[in-house]
Amino acid sequence: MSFFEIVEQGEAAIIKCPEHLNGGAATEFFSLSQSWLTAATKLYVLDFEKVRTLDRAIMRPVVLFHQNLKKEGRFLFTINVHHEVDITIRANGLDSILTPKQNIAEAMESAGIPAPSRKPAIDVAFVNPFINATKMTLETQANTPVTIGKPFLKDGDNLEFDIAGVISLTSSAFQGSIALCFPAAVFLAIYSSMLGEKHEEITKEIEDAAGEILNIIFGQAKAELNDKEGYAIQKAIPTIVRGKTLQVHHLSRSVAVVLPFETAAGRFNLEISTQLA
Amino acid sequence: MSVFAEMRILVVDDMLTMRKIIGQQLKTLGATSISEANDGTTAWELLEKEAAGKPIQFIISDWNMPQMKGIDLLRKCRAHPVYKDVAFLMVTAEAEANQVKDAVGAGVDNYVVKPFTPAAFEEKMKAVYNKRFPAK
Repeated sequence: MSFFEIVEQGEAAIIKCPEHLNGGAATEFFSLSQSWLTAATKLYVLDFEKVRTLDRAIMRPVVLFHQNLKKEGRFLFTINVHHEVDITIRANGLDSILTPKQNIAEAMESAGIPAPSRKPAIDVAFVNPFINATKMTLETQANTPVTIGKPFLKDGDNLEFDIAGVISLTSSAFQGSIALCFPAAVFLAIYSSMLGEKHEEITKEIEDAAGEILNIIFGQAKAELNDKEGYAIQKAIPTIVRGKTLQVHHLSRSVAVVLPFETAAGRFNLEISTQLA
Repeated sequence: MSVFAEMRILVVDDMLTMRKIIGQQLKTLGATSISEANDGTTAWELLEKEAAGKPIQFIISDWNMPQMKGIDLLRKCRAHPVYKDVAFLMVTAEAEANQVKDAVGAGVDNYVVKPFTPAAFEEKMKAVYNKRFPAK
């Protein structure tokens, strides 16, 4: 079985590295790098998501690979480098060879490669997983039946709520955000159904339910979009915003789609906004 | 008496709401000794502290947390002399194929995908229990 898995994305290739970059991995890396050098790929990205240890043995073939790429005006970057591995890289003076990038999009931008063509049109195929995930999450985890209203494009930022969970939507091809927005009465009713606790107002103790519900919706939709539709949406952790007559301003300038959901206690919205990375 | 009644259980999740939901369901299953941690780092500190006394026997951990993630906590447990065989149920909202593969490779006993019903949670708890504490 191979230590390395390579995923090609147009002019770029992502090399998924194993947990331990040891002598065996070094031998295979050297061998594979000879064929990688003959390919027309402009950018190689070492994905260190799984890497926990990095032996000295791997350093020489990686340095050689980098030197050969550089001679030809090609690029080598790393992503998803864990803190401990980063310390090893820096301690061995390899940080100029294994230059870390935040994500594939940033690596591609540094290599002068335009974003890949896989991008979300806010269409049925992209939005449906969020609708299904919202219904399933509210009904299964919060005992709250919901019906979807007619989606609409957000016109300005004039929708007002009391609490929202917000999560970033990032992949190699696009970025954006998702906001789950509740009026206080709807949020309190859902919280009561979910935990059997009645509260008169939203407090610090209960506010993270907005983030957790969004987290579950995001996880479900992301799994479907990544596994079935080929998006590479990254993990993210939600944040919560709360205030009187809150307005959600998405960072991207593109138009956001609003998915309105009706419950017995009233309406809440899921807003999805995307922009090309 | 419930098999979980005397068991020392640790629930790890950065969201208080989910810790409450799991805590309620554990109490329904008869659990009485439930500890909580809001991330993997805090959980590991608690586990190390308890290792010399009466160690935690069953961990229910979220995957996606700030600082130490659930899978890193799992790897640390499997490499620890006291916790290498601890019962470990992963809770995740992200059941992507490669993630499940990673969890199995790291030695998870089972995983439950959010959103989950009380019945689904009970089924997973019992499956992990039967695997780690087989009837003699």
